[in-house]
Amino acid sequence: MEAWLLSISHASGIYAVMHSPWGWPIIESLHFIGLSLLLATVGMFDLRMLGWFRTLPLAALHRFIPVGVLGFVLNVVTGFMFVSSVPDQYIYNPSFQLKLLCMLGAGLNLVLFYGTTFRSVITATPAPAAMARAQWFAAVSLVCWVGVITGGRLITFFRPPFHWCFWCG
Amino acid sequence: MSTFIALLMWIEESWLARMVGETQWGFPLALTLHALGMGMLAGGNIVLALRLLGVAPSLPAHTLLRCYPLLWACAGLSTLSGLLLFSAYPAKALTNPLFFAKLAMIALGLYWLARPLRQQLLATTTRAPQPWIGVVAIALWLATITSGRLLAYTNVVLRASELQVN
Repeated sequence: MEAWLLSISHASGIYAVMHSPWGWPIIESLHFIGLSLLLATVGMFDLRMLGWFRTLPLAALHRFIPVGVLGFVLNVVTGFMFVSSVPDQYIYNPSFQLKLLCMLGAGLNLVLFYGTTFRSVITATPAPAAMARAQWFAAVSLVCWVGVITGGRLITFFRPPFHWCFWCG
Repeated sequence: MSTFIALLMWIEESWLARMVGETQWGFPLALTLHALGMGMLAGGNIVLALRLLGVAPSLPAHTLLRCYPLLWACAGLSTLSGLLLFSAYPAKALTNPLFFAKLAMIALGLYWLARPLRQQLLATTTRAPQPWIGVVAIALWLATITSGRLLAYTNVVLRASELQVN
């Protein structure tokens, strides 16, 4: 896994960018910009479903979600640049593992939300049962994304040799 | 020893600074709260600015004023957590010009949110009458984020004791 990630990093030129004098801080800044776009757009939509800012029309507010998706894509790209350049600092890191787990949770929650509830809550007068379901999806989404950000922020406090992962042996 | 260094040392030795700097959880907790508060504050401002530029035209712009209490709460959270981070390393912050640049941009960004951005949201139909106000807001918050991130790479010292040597 480590060797594979590193080989991609070297072959693609990512490694050279990340080890250039300002490469790491600049990519970190972009990563935080992506985080902000995602947190604000998805967070505001989730809070709206939880009953905040009731005068904001839900369907129209959803028009900002593509901005959050853009932030997510930016963060997958910049995130891969960190991980592939120093894989041992991430793949054995419990905080990074928590972050991935929360991303998985957010992803599953998103698939279920759009699959079962989204269409019935963006109508002008959503049924109470659909709104109640939407509140659960919103709460899970918020918890997961706060977990992703927390896990990401704490990566730096769990450095090797603390290999606290269940598959490291 | 100069008064400035004595003041920095007094901050470093305060109860608050020791709680942040000497406990296992203090600094990570403050960093996490700062990231959450700043992410929502900067991202929220960018969302409002994008509306001025014509994104989500079906959303009546003035309804976004409903989000202001959330953004002010995030500004409060960022300030409080920022003070905690500052208390642990006051010398690191106050010897870096970028720290003052960041504070100035935040002050301007918050003023921009309270006045020009608010006026534009109230006046916007499809696009804002003066979209450049949104462009300035986006630039301010992107620059704030970048300067905040670069603070970890541009400091000359960490603790006040390092200043005495020179």
